[in-house]
Amino acid sequence: MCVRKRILLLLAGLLASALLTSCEAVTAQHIDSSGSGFQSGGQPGDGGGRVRGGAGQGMDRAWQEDESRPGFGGRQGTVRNPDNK
Amino acid sequence: MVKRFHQALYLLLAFFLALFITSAFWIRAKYIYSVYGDTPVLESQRIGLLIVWVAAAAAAGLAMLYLGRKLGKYRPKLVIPLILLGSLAVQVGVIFAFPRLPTDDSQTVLSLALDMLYRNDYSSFQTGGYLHMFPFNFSTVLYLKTLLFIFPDNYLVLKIFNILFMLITSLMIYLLYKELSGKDGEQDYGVLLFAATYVPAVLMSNFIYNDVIATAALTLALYFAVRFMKQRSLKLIIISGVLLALGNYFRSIGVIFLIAIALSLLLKVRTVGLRRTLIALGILAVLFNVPGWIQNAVLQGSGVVGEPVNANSAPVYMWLNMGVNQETFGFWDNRASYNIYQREAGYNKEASTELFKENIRSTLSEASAGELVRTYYKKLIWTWTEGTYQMERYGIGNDGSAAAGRGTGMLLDRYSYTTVFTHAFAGDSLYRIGLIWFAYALNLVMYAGTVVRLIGSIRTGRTAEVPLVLVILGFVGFYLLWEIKSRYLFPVYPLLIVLSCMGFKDLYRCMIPLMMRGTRHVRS
Repeated sequence: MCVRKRILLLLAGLLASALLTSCEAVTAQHIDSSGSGFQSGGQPGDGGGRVRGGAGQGMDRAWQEDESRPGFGGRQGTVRNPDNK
Repeated sequence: MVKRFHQALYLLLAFFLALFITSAFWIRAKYIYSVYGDTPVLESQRIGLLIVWVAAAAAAGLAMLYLGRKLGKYRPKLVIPLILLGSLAVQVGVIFAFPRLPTDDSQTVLSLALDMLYRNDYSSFQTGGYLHMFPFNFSTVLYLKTLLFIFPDNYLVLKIFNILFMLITSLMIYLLYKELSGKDGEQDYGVLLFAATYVPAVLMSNFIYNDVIATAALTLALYFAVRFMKQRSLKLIIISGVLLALGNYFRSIGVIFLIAIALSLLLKVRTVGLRRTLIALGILAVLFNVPGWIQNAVLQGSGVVGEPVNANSAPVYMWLNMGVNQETFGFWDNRASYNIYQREAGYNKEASTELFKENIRSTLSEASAGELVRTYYKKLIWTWTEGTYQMERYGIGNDGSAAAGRGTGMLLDRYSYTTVFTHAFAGDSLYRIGLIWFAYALNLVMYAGTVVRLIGSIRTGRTAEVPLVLVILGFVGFYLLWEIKSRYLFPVYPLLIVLSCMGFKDLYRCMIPLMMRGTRHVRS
């Protein structure tokens, strides 16, 4: 077998093993589309998950939570200003 | 007259960059979410560390350019795909090593995309809903919805598309450099290497939002506009107009690119010709708002909204009001402005506009001239010398569940899973702080390279860089007024790479004869 073929075979083997080991990493990054929040990020009550404008969970709820927990709130990104500009 | 105007523009940008560089000798601008929380930090500079990191960054940059020169003997068809493939591999590695979950607006737009895709739920456009207040983010929602409709629901899909846009941007940086350098820039692969490995850009693929796609579209638009100014083919300006409209649809700072291209066209009216200049301006102006018009027509036609989406959205004065805040020097004002729109004005655009105007007026009139100068100086220096585009939060991310923050309470960021890299880069670890220092120093080195280029251009009367200079000056001016985040400057990084690499090349050319002369002198 020529050297080039051996290198290609070795690369293919490495790629296959990398793919196999990354399978778990791929499934772990699945997005939960059930609407009840994200896999582990949007835990109710912690910032990022609060501004669910579309679902009508809206700002008021977030606002009440913020007032009850001074010191966190907007600064940590509860109702972030959309930064499009 | 025109020549003097060009020189004035170059001098103005050189002045700002020199101000940023000199200020960095005594002020260190930081954004480290894992240590300080979501807040901008300005503190005394540590000169010794700065010198070490600047030397390291300069060495890394020069090594890239040297390696690029070495690669010059190979065919572009071989080298360009190889460099981009290498960058792809690194970026794929990053999204597996730091499986950052979206937060804040990034999470909100993704959530809305899922609501629209699986539940046909568009209630976010109703009063108080996210898209009612911030309809400009519907573009990102639509983009994510399309990707999730076609591909599996996985964060990796969205991040891989980010990577593709990053690779396009890298290629465009190289092509823009070549276009501006002419024959001089042929096969300077160092620029491509630099762009493909630029740390904040490589990490930003991890951020599911509109920055990466808008940067790619706007850089492409600028590239085709520059080509139009040389070749005068209307096909090029149409492509540029379409890309400009697309980029602006994702991030409204596209208007800065529009103004810069329009001004550049007017300055080149003699070479482009009056008729072609007017046609080009017309094309750009007509195409610019097309995505917005289509969006409004479709949403109103399908009954999702009853009035134009901007009718009662948050007014631009909300961000201007944040921008004048003295305490936060223009950073997020802890809901103060948002509450004016939401609570005091009851989501009414006109009413809140009046309140914001009044607030801005009183803030400006109550502050002394000295206080205003101090605030705007801090604002300018933090935004432009933070230097990492906040990659620490948006690229590396944090494991909030591990309570890595120090004295900041709860961190909101999360990872899908932890890895050896998330552990190594946790909190204020040496790796994280080191990488931030490197990106910070590299940014200053790039400013220095850009100053070299600008001064060289003033001396030799070069004007090719005008569109890039105008865009950067536009960003400087805009973010003097607007609410700030250093991440907002992300669309400027391709232009800084182009200009700084040109500056390094100029410097290299100056140094070689000097060194040769020195050697001869020693020999004699």
